[in-house]
Amino acid sequence: MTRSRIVPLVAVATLISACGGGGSGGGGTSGPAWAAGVFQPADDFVAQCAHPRSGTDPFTGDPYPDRKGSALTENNWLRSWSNDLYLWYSEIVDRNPAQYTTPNYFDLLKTTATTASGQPKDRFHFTMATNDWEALAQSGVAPGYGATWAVIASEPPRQVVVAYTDPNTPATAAPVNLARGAEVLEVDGVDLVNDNTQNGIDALNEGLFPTQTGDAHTFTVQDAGSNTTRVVTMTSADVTSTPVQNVKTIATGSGAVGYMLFNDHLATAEQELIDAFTQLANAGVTDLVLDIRYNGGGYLDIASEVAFMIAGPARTAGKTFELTQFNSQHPSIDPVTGQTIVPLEFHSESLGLSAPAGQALPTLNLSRVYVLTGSGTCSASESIINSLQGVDVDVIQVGSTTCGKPYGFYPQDNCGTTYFSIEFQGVNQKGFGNYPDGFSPANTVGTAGAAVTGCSVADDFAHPLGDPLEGRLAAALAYRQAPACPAPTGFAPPGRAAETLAVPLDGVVHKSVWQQNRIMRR
Amino acid sequence: MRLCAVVCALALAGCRSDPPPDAQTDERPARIVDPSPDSRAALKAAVGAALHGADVTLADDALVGSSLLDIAPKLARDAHGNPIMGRDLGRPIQFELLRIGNACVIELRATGERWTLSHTQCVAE
Repeated sequence: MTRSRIVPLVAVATLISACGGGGSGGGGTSGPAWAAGVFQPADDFVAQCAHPRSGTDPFTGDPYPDRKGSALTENNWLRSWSNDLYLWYSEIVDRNPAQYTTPNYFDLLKTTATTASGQPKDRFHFTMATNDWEALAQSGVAPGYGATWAVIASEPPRQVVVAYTDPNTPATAAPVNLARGAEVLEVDGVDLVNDNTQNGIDALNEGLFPTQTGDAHTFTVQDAGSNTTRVVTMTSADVTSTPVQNVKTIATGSGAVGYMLFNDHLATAEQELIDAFTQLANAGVTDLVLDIRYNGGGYLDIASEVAFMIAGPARTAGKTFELTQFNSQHPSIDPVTGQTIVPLEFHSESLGLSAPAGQALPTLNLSRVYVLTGSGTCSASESIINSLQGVDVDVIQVGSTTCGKPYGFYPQDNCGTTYFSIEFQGVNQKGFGNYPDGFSPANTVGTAGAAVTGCSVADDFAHPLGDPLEGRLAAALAYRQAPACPAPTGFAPPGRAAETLAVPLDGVVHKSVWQQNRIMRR
Repeated sequence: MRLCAVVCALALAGCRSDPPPDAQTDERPARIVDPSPDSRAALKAAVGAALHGADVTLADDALVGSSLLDIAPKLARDAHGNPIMGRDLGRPIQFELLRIGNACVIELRATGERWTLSHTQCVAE
């Protein structure tokens, strides 16, 4: 029987590819002869395209720079550009660019090394059509319902539940009233759990992950704790996410504990974070539980602000939040911007992303922080953990191993394809940034990432986020009382141990499906 | 980088915009009230004009809750649902809504250029 996997959804599979995509076919024969290890400047080949664009680039207002070239000139540009900027450029096997299509050649322009856990060292090698990459939207606005799904089981019998919702969206409006833990059983009459036909899978994809507004779909759901099902209809809309939610104070016998759910490093998060930390500071909390289990990152400046608001000026003044390091050919100058590389500080004032610029940020002045993590805790979120450890704030991690992405890149267009190739790594005040397998709570079973004090705890969809009874929050609160963990149940490392250790999965959380691969496929 | 490309290009090109209202008139950050299809269309057109005619997705309540409007690339995600640009060193394109006299005007903050919004009511913050 063909098994149908729930993986990223829908009809935008062509928009982004982790294995090439876009570009031109055929290596061609025009251009300089390949000599292994000899590289001309990338500028010698830039914008020499097999299929040049004409007219004006709507993103810049300037004419496209393209002129007639070939697949070979595009490949030669990729080869020289990668040799210059790729973080692990010396690990690329130099191959004759005339022998490959452009998408296939780009796929090969990366390291084949693996991490300690056996994962590929480079899991972040992408391309996207430039027109799609340059599409713009209001910060945090995307088509959907306002319900973020967690795909817990990707194959029949599938399981999809609500991970969280955003307020003032179709998902939370009466009578829909979806909430965390609600399980989706049918979409437009198609059995989500068992249907294994392509038509059924297509219908599930279209219903769960709309790519446009105005699409109405029906869902049979079973709310958390309920024994009955109900049918709700939602119409997709351009919904605005609320990146900071559930800010609250939890009274304990040993002082007030603050909690907040922080889901995205969006520009709009700046004001919400300031409001949240102000609220908790005014409440006199003595500890903080920062819930970033679904936070895949975003603006690094936001992460710096968060770290400051946790640790305060005494611990962070003059210290590095994160230093960007490029390959050994560029030790002091950012090769893309041409600017001198300087450490990113812990921002003590607002930057004007959504709050007025230049205002002193509130702070809790904490010497320790509890972070709730999952496999979706990634990039800038991991920077919060790493930067705080760099200034000796005790970070106690409760949850699952994080994604392991201490890397970044500057997207680069050439001939209508935008390339994402790892160019830099972020390190903290102590020079540490080696966590390609993520951060793992210390008692994690199996191969793990960089160990952090704390407890491996699976996600708990049976309780609301911020509920002291929710598994991860409960474990953090208990650890605060006495440093002990329940039996480890978290997921680690991403993509491997869960299948062999028979531990519960976090589920893969899917937010907006813009430029994302299909969730479900055969 | 590409946001910089837009902003820098605007700065160099000097896009056409409505003449600024009387400089002596008081101007204050503002929010849109009672948004309508016409006001939404006016805002979308003004933002698009500022960004070389780009078709920008806006929320129906854009500039209703805040005088600041942040525009960014649509959040592209990888197959695991995480943002591709999870460690983004850039900044969004930012507009601010101003009430100048009786007019509602959006300003592209990077360049200071302004566009007057038709069919739009706003109140000072």
